[in-house]
Formats: sequence, C-alpha cells, structure tokens
Amino acid sequence: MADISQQDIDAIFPKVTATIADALGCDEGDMKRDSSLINDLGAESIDFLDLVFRLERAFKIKIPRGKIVEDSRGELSESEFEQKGLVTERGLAQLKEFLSEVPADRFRTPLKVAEIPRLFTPETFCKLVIRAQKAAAPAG
Amino acid sequence: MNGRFAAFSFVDRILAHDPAATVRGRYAIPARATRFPASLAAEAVGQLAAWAAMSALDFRVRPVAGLAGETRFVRAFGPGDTLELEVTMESATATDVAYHGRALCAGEPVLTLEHALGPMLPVGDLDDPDAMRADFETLRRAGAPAARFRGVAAPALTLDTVETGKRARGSLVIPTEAPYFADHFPRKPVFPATLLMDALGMLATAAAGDDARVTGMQDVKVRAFMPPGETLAVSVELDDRDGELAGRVVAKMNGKPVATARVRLAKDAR
Repeated sequence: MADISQQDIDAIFPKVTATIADALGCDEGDMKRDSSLINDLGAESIDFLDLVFRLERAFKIKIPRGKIVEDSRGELSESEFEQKGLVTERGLAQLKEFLSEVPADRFRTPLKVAEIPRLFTPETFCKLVIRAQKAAAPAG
Repeated sequence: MNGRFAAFSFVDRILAHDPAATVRGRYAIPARATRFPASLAAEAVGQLAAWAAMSALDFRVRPVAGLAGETRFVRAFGPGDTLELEVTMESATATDVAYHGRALCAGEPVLTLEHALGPMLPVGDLDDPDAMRADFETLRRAGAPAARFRGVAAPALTLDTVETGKRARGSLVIPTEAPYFADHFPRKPVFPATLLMDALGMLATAAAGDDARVTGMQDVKVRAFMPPGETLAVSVELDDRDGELAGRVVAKMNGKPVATARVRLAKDAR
C-alpha cells in the first residue's frame, strides 16, 4: 500500500468535511482536523454507514463495508489483533500506525475493539477515500 | 399459520431470491384495505430485500430500517392493485445490507428506491428464527394466505404551528396498541419507519399548502427504535433550493433526533 501524503489529504479535506457535515447534520465550522466524530461531533453507528455511503457517491468510489476496521488490522490475523474483544499489544502498535492522524494520547489501554471507531477523525475518512481511489486506479 | 402475514407483511410471494440476481416478489394490496399509504410500497421493497438477505445469511441476522437515499413516488396506486417487487442486492453481510429496488403496477413503476441500507440485528432479538424460516418457505412455495391486511389508521399527528410556505411543528403519538406491532416485530414491537415517513410527508404537505403532494423522500435516516406509546416531536422547514420545493423533516423522541429526511413536494398545475 503506497503511503498517503499530507498533500493528498489536504486536496480532498474540504469535500470530505462537507460530506461529514451533511451526514451528521453538524456545522463544518465545528469540525477540526482531529475532532473525534463520535466524542466531539455526536456521530452514531448509523452515521458511519451513512457517511461511507455518501463518500462513495461524492467521490464515485467503492468502499467495502467494514473496510476501516479490516484495513486497520494490516497484516495481522484477527487473533493477533484482538483477544476477547480487546486490542492486543501488537494490534495497538499496528492501529497507531494505521491511524497516525489520531493524537497518541487517545489510544487508551486496554482498548476495546468496539471502541476503535471513537478514534476516527475527519482525516481518517480522507485516508479511507484515498485508499479506495488508489485501489481503483489501474496499476502502473 | 398463527396470524403471521396479517398485520404488517407486504410480500405475498417470493418469485426469485438469489441475491446475485434480481430478487422478485409480489404483493396484492387487499381491495378492502382502508388505507394504504404510498410509503408502504417502500416497506414492501424493503421487506423483500430483508427476506433475500436473511435467507443468504441463514436467518441469523435481519436488517432493520436505516438509510434510504432516494425514494420516488412515481405514480399513484392503492387497494386492489398488485405490486410487482424487484430488488437488486448490492451487498448483504452480517453487519448491514445495501440494495436498490422498485415496485411496479401493471408493468409501470410506481415507486423507486435507491441507496437503501439497513443495519443487521440478530434475528432472535426480533422474531423466532425457525418461524421466519418456515415463513420464507411458505412465501417461496404456496405464498401467504389471501391477504388479510386491513389498512393502517391515519397517523395521530397533531399540528401545533403551521406557517404556510415556511414551516410546521407538531407531535405524533405512537399508539400503545396497533395490529402492525404483531408483525413489526413479534419479539420487539416498534413503530415502522415507513409509517413515520407517511406522517412526516403529511406534516410537510400541511406546511406547503393543500395543493402540495409528496413526490419523494431523500436521505431518510432512522437512528433508533420507536416503541409503542412514545410521543414524537415533529417539525418541517421548507425550502426551495434549486427551484425545487422540499422540506427538511425531523422527528425527535425525548429531545433526541430519531429520524430525519428531506421530503420532496410538488404542486399540481391546475
């Protein structure tokens, strides 16, 4: 997976935040780069489904359901990543790398797998879009 | 058949259920049904999608109302008409189902539904999985017994303020008892989102004026179950963005939004 540059993120940031504002019914002005969609903007699980759906339409991309959580495991198997609903030590290291946009002090331990979406910020969704665009682009 | 299919089931027959192909079904609206709001054709399409998704996932999970990106009411229909239902499944996983579909009457589309998405819940929370399997077989083979649906009552909508052409506010009382709770769902009675959309459509037309009618719904989002006996605070703000008359509708329960949508309206030329 090719690295994602800050420039790539900046290029689509306004369109992604506008889409988030539409999905959550919140004000774009209330949104910071590192806002937690759940903790700061009041998003619920149905909003994430809605948001992914809207991003697919806005960017004409395909984002398989559950893509963020699946991608966040990286090369780790499910049992390497989590045990009994808690993210393992290796899992946490992998997650911090994958969600590099999230301030480090927000990764509490032990971290429940179900709590991972609390970490997601607008930039998390920029990266999701960029990965989907790159996956769709012809190799070469 | 213990009263199943009588109260809020809008698929009589499942003609094709392979989720990889077009899923097809049929529903004959009983001629004696007193009231069959157009939103129930969207319910029928959604129920057909739910059957296809549940059978693909061995009745472990079932979808509930979540998002409907674009619903268009193309042509009027009602009691006595037979709806031919078509659904294209975009995905069906243990967490959610995505699909689009339509209902036709005598070969002509009467309702189209795009970008529909429902979160999945464990079937056992809502209904008896074995009974659902048996129902599915009935629908695939003989079909449901001659429809006993009698229609739904008009929503208990009270208007508090109406500023014609601008906005309206009011309340909607969810009945403590209604026939549809027996089907929706047997183990967890909740107010069907399609009936809420019917009520919110009425609210929007009340704000827009008597000659307005609902032509579609955009970005319907249902956030929570609405149990019997609750009272919802409902509101609509009209706008004519892009020259199209529409209204943003919100239903709140205990101060929190439970459903939002944009209602598209038209005024018929006279």
